[in-house]
Amino acid sequence: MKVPVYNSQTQMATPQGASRLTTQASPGALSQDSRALASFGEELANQSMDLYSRMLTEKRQTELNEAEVMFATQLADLELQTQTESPSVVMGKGPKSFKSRAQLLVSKLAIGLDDGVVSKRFKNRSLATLTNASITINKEARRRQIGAAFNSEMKKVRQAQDVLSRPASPEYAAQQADARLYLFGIDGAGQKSSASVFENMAARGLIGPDKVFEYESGTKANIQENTVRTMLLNAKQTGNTTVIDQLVNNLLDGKAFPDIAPGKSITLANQALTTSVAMQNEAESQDRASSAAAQKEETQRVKQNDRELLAQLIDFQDTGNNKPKLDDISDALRDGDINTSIAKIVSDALTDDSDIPVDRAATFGILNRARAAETEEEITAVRNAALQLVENNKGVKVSTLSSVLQILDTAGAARTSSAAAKELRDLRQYDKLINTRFARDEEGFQFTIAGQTTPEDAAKDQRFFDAKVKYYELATSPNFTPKEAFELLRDQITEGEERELPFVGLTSRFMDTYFPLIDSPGNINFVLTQPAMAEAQAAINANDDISQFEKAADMEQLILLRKFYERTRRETAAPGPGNSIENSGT
Amino acid sequence: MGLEALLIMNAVGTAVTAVGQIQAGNDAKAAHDYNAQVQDRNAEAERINAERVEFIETAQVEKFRKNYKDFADAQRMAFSHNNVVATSGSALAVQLESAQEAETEIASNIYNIKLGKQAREEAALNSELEGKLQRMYGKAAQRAGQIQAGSSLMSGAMNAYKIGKFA
Repeated sequence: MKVPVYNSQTQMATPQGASRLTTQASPGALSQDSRALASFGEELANQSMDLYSRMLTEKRQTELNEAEVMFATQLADLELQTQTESPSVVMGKGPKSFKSRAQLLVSKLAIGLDDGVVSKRFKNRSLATLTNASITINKEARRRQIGAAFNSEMKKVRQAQDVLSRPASPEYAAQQADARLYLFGIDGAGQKSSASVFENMAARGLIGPDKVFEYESGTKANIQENTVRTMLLNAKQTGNTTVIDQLVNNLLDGKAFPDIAPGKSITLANQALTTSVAMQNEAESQDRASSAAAQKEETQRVKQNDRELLAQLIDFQDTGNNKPKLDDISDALRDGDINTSIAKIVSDALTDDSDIPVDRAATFGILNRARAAETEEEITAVRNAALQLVENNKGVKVSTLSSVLQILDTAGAARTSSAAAKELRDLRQYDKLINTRFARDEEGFQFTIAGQTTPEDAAKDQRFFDAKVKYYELATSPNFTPKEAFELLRDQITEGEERELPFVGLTSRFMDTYFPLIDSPGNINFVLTQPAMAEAQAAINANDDISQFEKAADMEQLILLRKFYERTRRETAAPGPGNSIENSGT
Repeated sequence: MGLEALLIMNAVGTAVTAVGQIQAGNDAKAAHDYNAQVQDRNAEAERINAERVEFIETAQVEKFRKNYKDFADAQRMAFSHNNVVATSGSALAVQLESAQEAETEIASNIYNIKLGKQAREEAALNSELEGKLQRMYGKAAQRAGQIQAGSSLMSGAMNAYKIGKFA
């Protein structure tokens, strides 16, 4: 029998189980933004740092360059300054040495730099500059030190050279022995006992060893040359040409002065010969000069004697005193103390009382020629002409001759004396002023209309002539300068014009005191009578208010008036004593 | 633009770089952490699968056992019906051989159950290890970001110093 049994019908599904998750998060992808941010920051840092680096480099380079330029400038100044300083100080280690001062400059400049890196770099780089500069400066200082030592030693060498150049004498023997030992190391016995100065200098590095012989030879040559020159000078001073001739022979022979080069010996011999010739020429010149000077002195002496004799004659003619003696004149002529012409003129004037009329044309002419003479020939010609005029009684007075001679002497001296030249210029200048005062041209000429001469014109001509002659007499006298003579005459000319006198020489004071103008009808100017002149003479003598000089001047003026009175009286048919001359104006 | 401004810009750039690198490390760590969590979940799932396979296959064995019992009963019944003494002789030998086969079948099933469970458990272990590895990666990425940030900061500072000293 079969029994049914229930069996479940549903089959369980095949289990699948939990599946594996394969999702994966990518760390790289998830961190991209952060990495991008990091990259941005990195780029920003790099760029800013690069720019910072460039700018900082540029800034530091600029500062460094400026500092170095300033340092170079200051260093150059310092180098220049050290060139005049003591080499030992410059090269030393003290605070005044070049290196110390240069380092101080570096420190000062470095302190002034704000950037420590620049300051450090500047210090490092300046070290090289400073070292190079120190080397150069020390080299230069050393060169100067050697130069100074060399110069000092050479100064001593020259002194020793001078000592050895002196002539050998017991007085200098010790000094010369010392000098010889110093210069050449040669003792008194003539043996070389020590090193010469040049060997010592070579050992000290002042000269090269190869130069020792050259210096020694040069020094020996110098000593012998100096000796020759000293001998030449002594011979020149003593005028001994024999010594010079001997010297020439010795130089040409070459034995006496073996250290002098042959060419130099010939040159010195030539100099000696030239000196000898010059000495002979000089001696001859001196002889000629002495002769010329003596001749000139003699001429001057004769001229002076001539002038003095003429002055004595003029004085005698004016005052009647101090008459020249004929015997004296004769003696002086015989001794050659005076000129023949002057002797004749004076002798004639003393022996002949005749009054020779004055030739105004001749007088003007000779005065003008004297004033214009400049060369020696012109002066001699005018002098001879003047002497001829007086000697031959051609109407020229002795006083005019004296003036002419004085003018000519002044013209002669003007070539060598500034004072004489000035006096000549003044003479000519005030001569022209007198011409101008009389309304004439510079040469004294006046334009007139023929046949139209009036008595006033004649008086004016007379005054002009008188003024010119008197001007030269005063101006050539030792008491007046040309200016003083002109000023004195200017007053007298005015006075002469006012009183219409045919001469000058009267001062206003004199005329107004003794012969006053009469201001009355009839236009009478003033009255000149014998009694009036006698009264004037008495008044002059009695006047104690004036000096003796003024009294003498007043008396001279009175003499002038008296001469005028006498001449006028003769010309007007000899009126009797007491007759008056009325000088009337228009 | 002054030198100070450039220095400030450099500092800002360096700081941004450092922050970015730290952030990148953190981001990478987060990704690795996420992956680790996924692996953790996969490991758990494999363990559940192992349990489930064991349960289901054991139920199949029990079902086989029951089926075989039914079969054995049917066999005995067949013998009995045929008047075959089932407790001796050939019938018994047939019955024993069938029982032996059934037992072999069950033992093989149990063996296969164990193997399947073991495979699932190893897969779970693998996922668990992978998760741990991802966490380690994350931490390493975070540290790397931090180190890179420090390196950037130091590099920026050193660059500024070098330029300040040697430019």
